[in-house]
Amino acid sequence: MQFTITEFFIFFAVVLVAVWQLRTRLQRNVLLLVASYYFYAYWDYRFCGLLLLSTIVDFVAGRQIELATSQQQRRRWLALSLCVNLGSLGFFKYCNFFIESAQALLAPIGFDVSTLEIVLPVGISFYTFQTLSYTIDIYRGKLRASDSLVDFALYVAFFPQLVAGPIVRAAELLPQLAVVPAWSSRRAYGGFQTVLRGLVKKVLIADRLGEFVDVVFAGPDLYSGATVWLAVIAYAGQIYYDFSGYSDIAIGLAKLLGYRFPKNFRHPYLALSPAQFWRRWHMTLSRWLRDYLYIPLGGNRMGERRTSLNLLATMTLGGLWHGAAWTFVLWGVWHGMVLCVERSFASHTPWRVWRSIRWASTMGIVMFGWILFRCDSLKQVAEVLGQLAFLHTGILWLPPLALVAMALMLAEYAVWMSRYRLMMRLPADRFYSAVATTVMIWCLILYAPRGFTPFVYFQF
Amino acid sequence: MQQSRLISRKIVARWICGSIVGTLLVLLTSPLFVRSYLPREVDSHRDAIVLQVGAGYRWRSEGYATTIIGRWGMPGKSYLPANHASENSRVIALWGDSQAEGVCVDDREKLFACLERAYAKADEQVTVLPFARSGDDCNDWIHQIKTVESAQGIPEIDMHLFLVSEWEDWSVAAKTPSEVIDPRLNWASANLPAAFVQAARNVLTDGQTDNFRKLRFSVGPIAKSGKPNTVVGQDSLASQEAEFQQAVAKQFERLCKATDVPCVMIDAPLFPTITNGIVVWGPTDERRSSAIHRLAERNGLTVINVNNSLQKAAMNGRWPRGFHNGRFGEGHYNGFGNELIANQVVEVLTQKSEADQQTGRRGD
Repeated sequence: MQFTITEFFIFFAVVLVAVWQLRTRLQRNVLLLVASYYFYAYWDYRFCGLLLLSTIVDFVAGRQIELATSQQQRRRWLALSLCVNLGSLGFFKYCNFFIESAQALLAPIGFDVSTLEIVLPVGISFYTFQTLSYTIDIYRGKLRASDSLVDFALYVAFFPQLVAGPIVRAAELLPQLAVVPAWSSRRAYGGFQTVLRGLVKKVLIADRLGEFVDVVFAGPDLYSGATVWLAVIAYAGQIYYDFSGYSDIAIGLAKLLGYRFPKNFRHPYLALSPAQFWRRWHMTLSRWLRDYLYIPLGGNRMGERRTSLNLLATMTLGGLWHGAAWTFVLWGVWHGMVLCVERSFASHTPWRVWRSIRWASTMGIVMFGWILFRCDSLKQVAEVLGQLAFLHTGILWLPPLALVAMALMLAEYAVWMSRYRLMMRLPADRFYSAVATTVMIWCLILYAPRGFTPFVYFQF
Repeated sequence: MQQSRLISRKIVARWICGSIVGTLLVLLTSPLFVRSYLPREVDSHRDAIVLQVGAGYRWRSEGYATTIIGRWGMPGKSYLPANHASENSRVIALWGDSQAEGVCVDDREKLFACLERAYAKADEQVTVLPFARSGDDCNDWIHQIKTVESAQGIPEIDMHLFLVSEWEDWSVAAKTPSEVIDPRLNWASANLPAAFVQAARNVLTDGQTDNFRKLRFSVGPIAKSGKPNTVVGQDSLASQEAEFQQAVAKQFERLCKATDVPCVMIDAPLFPTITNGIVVWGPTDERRSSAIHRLAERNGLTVINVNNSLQKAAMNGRWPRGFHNGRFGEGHYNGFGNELIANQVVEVLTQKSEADQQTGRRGD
């Protein structure tokens, strides 16, 4: 079920009213668990089994790791958790990718390998990372295993974050699920405003930009350099507003239900270096990759060369996590390389120059990365770059609604950077909050694109 | 306690005032982005439902124009020249669907205006009456032609000109159109701001089909509806094509029976088009077009094919269809496309009439 469809609003209203009527933790958690499985089954009930399998395996593995008396036993249970989680992720997400890659390599020598018909279960990348973090944290002794299967199952399947994050760690959510939250009007109002802001970001900005971006990227060679430049910038806006909009909705929904999720974005396009960008973009994933991949690989403790290798490996795997395609791998490699270079030159002048130059170069690096991320093939990357270099002529297309959406994007950043930043929280006792809220609701009804546009990150 | 009540009352008052101000702000700015909704009325001269005469019809989703609805519901034709019935002046009735209606372009860029300008350049005084309506097909045109030709007040028509963007509009089964005005929609269009009507439409109807929303609460996956894909054999294709051409032939015959006035068809297919980033330059089945052209000629109808001009223009970087606030290479003809079509039509018709005159003189 998507957050932007009418059915979801009805579903959520029912869940919201019902959940605040229940007095005990178990009642609440059972209701939320049933609602979460229904939310997931709305897309395809058959994959609920996979979710349940992952939940049971990790619940059992977590308890066994805690109860184990020897290091060897602990390792075995951890290995089981890793195998089941990474195995299912590998099969559903990467099986065809590896078959296709092998096919491309083996075809010249006469081998023919056919791909399988595999449907990628929505959210598998997200809930796999969550459950992995649970067992690894228990293994590391940082977390106590959950006593309640209901609580743990709800942690894995909690619908606001099930399909596209934020990647909430067990240590952050399980303690919240262990108590009955108290109703707070202030928190509920904050949750409502966060959901509304997320919807505006997704529907009014990202989807409008997406209409333009999709057409240009489908045939970049047909459009003029100026149009392709605009489309690349628009894509940067689309992916940010789409994903941060989703995260805002998820955070707001959780708030309305009485729970807190970590922040996922902190105005990443204000970053003055690639490293800063990654501290502001998809923060819960960056944190996950740092703690469960980069640091276990050795982090920065084993010399410059090894640190660079670790960075490169982490970012490459991060790229592959986003999607099973070579363009995603390249995107990861690109960011890995840039981070290595930045690290090498950290103490030299290039990063100490003017802020505007640092910002512009960071944006250039990020934009180039988005081209790799958005294109389906290297041929398409070449076409986009060719048009960006004004090598060919084409249609000059400047869609006003995409320009309005970009202006909104700039306005949001400008207000956030100004001394009026606090106004963006829309305090309940202010007149302008009522005006802004009404305008946002009207705009969502009037100006949402007619038709259904899924969230970009659902495909990952 | 009293203070907190006072604060909450204050907050409630602020929220009520704030929502009113917010709504007013949206209403005031909405004409920039929201199309207008006009009540419809029956025009007795055409025996057809038309938009309210004299009103301005605002279009915003593809193109950015306001159309003044003229007499007999003619979009964009807000005046008729005094000399339209003079001896030297000719009157052409323009028929078609939304492509010929052209609410997405300014009145001076609509096809009828481009035709009048092109004729004026060729030193001919021509008045074009735009009778095209969105969603019309040949049943509507044939029915209206009969009523228009016999109606009092409408000048005598010298030529019927059809903008045909899809020959499917001529292959429908023959029937007399029966149109009904929806009284609720008419009331809403007449009495409510367009933003409210649009909001209700967005909430109640499905964006893709425009039908009333059907909510689904059952779990997925959704069963794939529709017929299973079947391979159509060559024989079956040939018989389908034969049926199609028979239907078109019948409608051409109906048209010829309905009027004695010369009829001209502009074959303006929706090409070139951009589909998934690929340019499709022309109809995949050229044979169909040729067969229909022959059918038309057999019935004494003139066909002007403008596809080549449209293709050439697109090759030179100027797309005849599409807008900045829509997409290039799809949708409706823009001002440039209308002008291109008009110029070619006038050129061909002028040459034809000169050739006819010469043949006539030789015959004398």
